Amino acid sequence: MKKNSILFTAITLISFWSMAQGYKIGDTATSFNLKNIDDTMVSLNDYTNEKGVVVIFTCNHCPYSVAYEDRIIAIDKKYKTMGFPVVAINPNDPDLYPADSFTEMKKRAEEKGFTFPYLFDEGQQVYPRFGATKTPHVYVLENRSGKFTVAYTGTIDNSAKNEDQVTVTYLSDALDALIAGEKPGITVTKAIGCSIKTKNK
Amino acid sequence: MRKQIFILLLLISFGNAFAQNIEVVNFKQLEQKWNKQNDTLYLINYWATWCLPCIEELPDFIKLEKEMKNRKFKMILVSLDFPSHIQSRVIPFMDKNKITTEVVLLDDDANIWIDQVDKNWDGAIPVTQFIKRERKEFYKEQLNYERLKQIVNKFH
Repeated sequence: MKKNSILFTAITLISFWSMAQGYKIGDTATSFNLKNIDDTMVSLNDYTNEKGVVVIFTCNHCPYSVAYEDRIIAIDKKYKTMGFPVVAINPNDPDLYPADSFTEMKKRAEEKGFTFPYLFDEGQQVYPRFGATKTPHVYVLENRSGKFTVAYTGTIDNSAKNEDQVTVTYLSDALDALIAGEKPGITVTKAIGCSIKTKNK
Repeated sequence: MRKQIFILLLLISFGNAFAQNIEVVNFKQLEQKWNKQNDTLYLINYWATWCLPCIEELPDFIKLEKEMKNRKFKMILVSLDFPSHIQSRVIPFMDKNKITTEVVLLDDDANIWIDQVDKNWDGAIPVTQFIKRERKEFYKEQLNYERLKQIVNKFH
């Protein structure tokens, strides 16, 4: 009896710990099932015929997200034809950020002409699993026989505020490598963004 | 003539009451602001006007700064707002909240300087650094007045 409870505690602690850490390169992403702005549900499992998915945690209110909107649309348009569509997820609590409510998400997507699903992380359960800490935060998932494996995490390029000053296109480079059947040269990058907040933290 | 100069100076000083000069720096320039040869405790807070937890904790930082007025203590608020938002967001925010603390705006390649602040930091704000001589402490969480006092006491 004692052995079992120690084992149970150990497993629980380890799983909480890895949840707190989020996905590392090489981890398999568990599926999610979230509501899209067209009121349909979208799941990771919907993409098993694709080479992968570019999951981007992003939102309406964050100036960094706003600065990247056009670039995210461009990435989606280019890479969905090559097997890597974008799926955007808003991880924020609308009680804290009213500009990130589901209604506002619909408005923004229409205003900007988003070409990708823009999902609402109801209950804020999905972003902690990924380990997303801010918006925007990118997770490129590669489809390896139905298992969505994390191949790149971090930022889109090296100049949020000004597209004209971009000299390194981290995300595009990673996607180009994966499409060519190679590992991305840079798999993890860092950037400033708006921290994702929950009421309890 | 004297009267006109006096009025002019009065108007200039009044106009500058809270409209602080926001210096835009790169990371090398920012680092030069803390001199490790002295006994001053430097508190460097990375924030932005669009960052809710940053805004929430700022009043406690200002409260601390007031209390530390006669001690070897210097607080620097490093804004990560876009330079194009200095006039439209940063300065109005400082005016509205009557912030007279030194505020600088950091404009540099984030993927490089984030690691130089702390290797374990992924770039989410707010974060706060305490630096005294060679001793550095880095806090990745939102802080409050009690925590700030606790940390400061560790350095004195």
